[in-house]
Amino acid sequence: MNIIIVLSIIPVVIWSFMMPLSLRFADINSITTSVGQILGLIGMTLFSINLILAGRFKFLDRYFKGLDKVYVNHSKIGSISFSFLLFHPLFLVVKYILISTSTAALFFVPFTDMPITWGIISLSLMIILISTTFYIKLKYNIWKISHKGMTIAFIFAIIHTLMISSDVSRNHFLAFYILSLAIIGLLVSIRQVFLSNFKKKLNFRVKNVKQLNQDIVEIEMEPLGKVLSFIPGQFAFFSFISSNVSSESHPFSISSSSKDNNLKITVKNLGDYTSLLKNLKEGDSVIVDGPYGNFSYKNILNKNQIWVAGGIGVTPFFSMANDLDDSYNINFYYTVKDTIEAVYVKEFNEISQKNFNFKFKLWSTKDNGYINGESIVNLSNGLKDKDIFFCGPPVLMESLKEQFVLLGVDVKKIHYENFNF
Amino acid sequence: MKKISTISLFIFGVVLTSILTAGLVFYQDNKTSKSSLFKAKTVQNVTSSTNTSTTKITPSNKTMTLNMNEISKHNSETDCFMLISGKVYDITSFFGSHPGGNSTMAPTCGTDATNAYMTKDPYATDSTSGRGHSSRAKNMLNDYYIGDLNQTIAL
Repeated sequence: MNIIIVLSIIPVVIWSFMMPLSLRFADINSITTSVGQILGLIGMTLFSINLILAGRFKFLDRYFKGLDKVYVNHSKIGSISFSFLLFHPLFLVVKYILISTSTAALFFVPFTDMPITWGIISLSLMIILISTTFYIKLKYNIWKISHKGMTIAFIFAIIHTLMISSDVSRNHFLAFYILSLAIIGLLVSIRQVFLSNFKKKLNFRVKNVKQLNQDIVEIEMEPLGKVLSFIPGQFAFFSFISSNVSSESHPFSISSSSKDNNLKITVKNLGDYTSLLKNLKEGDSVIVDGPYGNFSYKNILNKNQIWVAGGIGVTPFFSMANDLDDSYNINFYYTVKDTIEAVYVKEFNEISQKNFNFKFKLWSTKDNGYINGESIVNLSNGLKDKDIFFCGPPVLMESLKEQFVLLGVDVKKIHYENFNF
Repeated sequence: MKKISTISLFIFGVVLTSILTAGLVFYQDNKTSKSSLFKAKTVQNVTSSTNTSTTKITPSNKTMTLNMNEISKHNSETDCFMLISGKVYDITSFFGSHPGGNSTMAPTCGTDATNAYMTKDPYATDSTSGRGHSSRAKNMLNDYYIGDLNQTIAL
């Protein structure tokens, strides 16, 4: 996150050395113009960075400690960048308002000035695409296509930056900085949007589809070529080539053991797409892009750990439990609304019978009420020197995190997976 | 984060709508008020000869020849003529509205400001360095045009 702040402040620093600041902030005219310019510079930088973040790079996965966190930041930065770019013309128009309102109105009319027109087209497209993202509930695959349109808005924004007479056109260093970031962003985005087939991906085929209970289905896949080597707890993007399911890629935690060559994912029916996965047939092709994520008991040196799964958040823990050896001391809590919703209970019990250092507890909200920090402390003989892993509904994770911090747990010892990116 | 975008979008929508509405409503008023006094008089002189004038400014017989000698007399922020590419502009009423501030225009009052205008540098000695004004600025400049170099205009 810090590096992103530094990257977006650099253009402002270059800009501030181009002209004495006393001239930049002399009167209402120059102040509003300066603020408008700064917003444009930062907005454009953040937009470029955000396209890079969307590139599913391994180095980002490592730097942000999990690709799920990269996507959380992508959505935050996107909102900030969008707001900056919206205010960019609002500040620049002030000097025209001071001349007359009709001059100001002309500023927003396309085709009166070509460089500004590109900016108007770019911003209008962004407004349309972002509004559909936020306010209309689109099906994921349609949303994904509409979100890709942001790349086109970005191309218009680059043309606007190149053509407009501004500090970017007057300072070669500033121009170089803004444009190189933009070009990197654009190349990443084009690779992600249009050339996704050229990325290194693995081919699998569906071997077995098993309904575990009313809502949860387990899909087993076997490799057609190379196997996927991953650390238990990680996730991957899966796209199924099948007549029953649309082919866009979706992220799922891997629920099988890393010792197994076959991959398993365990999916809860949460709507359109996930409700169709039960219709997959043996032999359907699967393209796997991964692994990603930093959520694993193996990434922590401390071998005393508490694991908390909420609902379908159990999937990474199932993979981890199957991999575990008895050098780890684990207290695992699996919370569900009702015990009939729970999956893999038999398997977890078997593991805990073989490995006495793995203590498993199924927690039903219907029988025991919501699980809380205090009950976990009591059942686990204290929290001292223990790392805590959560995966489940965001509300549960936030609430437990807050409770553990109040109980004196260091935030650095709390690890969680953002399921909803 | 969705909140930030929503609030920004809302403010953007409100400001844009009000500017566009105000711009359209006052468009007629601005058409005439934007022009400088000199231009209004020139136009008025032309139109009065065809007997269609409705303005209240009374025509006079005084004239002014826009040569370098005359231009150099109008060399302050309160009375500023500039020669740009052979055309003379009275930009007195534009002071206070220039995005670059008054200090960038003042030194060229009463002079041939072509190089300064082309380069956005008041002390430029040629017209090739730097970048010129936008076409929007060029359109605005037309509003302050009073005549060509050495042309005699009516006052």
